Amino acid sequence: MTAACPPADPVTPDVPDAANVADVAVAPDRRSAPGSQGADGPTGPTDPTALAGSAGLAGSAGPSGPPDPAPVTVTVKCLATLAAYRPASGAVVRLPGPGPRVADLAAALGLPAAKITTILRNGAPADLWTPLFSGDAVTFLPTLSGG
Amino acid sequence: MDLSRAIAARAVPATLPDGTPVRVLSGPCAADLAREHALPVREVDAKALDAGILPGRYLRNFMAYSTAEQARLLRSAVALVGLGGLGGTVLEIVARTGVGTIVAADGDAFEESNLNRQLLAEDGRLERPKAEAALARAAAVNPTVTVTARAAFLDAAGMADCLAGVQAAVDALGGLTDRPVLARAAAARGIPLVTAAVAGDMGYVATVLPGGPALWDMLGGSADPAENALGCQAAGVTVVAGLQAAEALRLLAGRPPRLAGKLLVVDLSDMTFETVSLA
Repeated sequence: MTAACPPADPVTPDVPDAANVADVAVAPDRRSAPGSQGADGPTGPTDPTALAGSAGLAGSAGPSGPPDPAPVTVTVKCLATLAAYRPASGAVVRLPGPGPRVADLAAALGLPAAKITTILRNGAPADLWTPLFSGDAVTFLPTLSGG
Repeated sequence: MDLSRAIAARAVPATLPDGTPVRVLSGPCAADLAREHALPVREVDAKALDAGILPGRYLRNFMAYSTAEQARLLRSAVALVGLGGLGGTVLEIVARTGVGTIVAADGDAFEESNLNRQLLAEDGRLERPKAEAALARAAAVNPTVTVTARAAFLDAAGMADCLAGVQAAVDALGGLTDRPVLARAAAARGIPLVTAAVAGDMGYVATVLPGGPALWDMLGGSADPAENALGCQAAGVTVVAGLQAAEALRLLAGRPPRLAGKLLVVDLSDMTFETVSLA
């Protein structure tokens, strides 16, 4: 008699749901932008000049409007050496609102700004100050120069 | 007999796999005519293409390139700086595709750790110059194109020399030190530059047109780039080199580039390609 077949792993759904979304609580002491001079208030980093130059590409502004207090769910890719900072849950991260920015996402991942060279948001260059909205896709890259 | 009539007399009818009738000039016939007329074989092939006759060597390029585009490739010149993982594969592609003149340079010699990925690296070439291997490989796969390969690490003046008379440049360098120098040299000569970098199983490709963004000011932030920790593997570097060569061939064939002001990020760990606008 053969041993019983172990149960298969549950299939991961393509659409994020509560089971595979990292609900990230951003601690107040991690809300400050890496590289900035101190903790910011509960609405996130407030001094864009503290972030300028931390990551190489120029920023792009998102849609304007009143801050949404609801949590913001984004997908994130951490490439090359930054793969160690991928969220344990996969690619989806939920950030507390209102108005999280890329710096908040990096902080939630424990990803130091000094390790980031390039930030992309929805296929365009971004920086740590770029605001995030639900459905955004963020990619973090280190410097790579191999040939 | 003048060259055009001689080419027409030597061409033979053939049929492409899709049924298209063509006339073909074989490599040995082109070589004979080149000797008789004291011309490079690539110019005989280009003359054949001018008359709508396909050189046998490029027969399977026909659906990708018109005869005018293939002739333009044969009369074009490309600078290829770096003959390692990216450069070896770019050389292979542009030589086989029929870029008539390839001006290459690399001052490095092969070491054992190159063998995992660099097309030109062979056990029998360890400690030998990469430039020497490049000449041998190009001669083996397409002896009708003209290849020069300097065994030297180019300074700014050397890069300027390398770029004289070319229509496109390929940055296949490793590391961050020399890439901005090459970018400035290409900009100064008004030459489009196709650049690429790899680390682990990912990489990117971008094209910088004269007056375009200073790419390495944006991408070269760290003194400890990722490839130091991750190495580079054959599949990733070959994919990225293929993309780089495809973009350079577009420019050389007279087509608009696809990655001007953009960055194509390739990640083989999840098989994704993401094109980002840098403008």
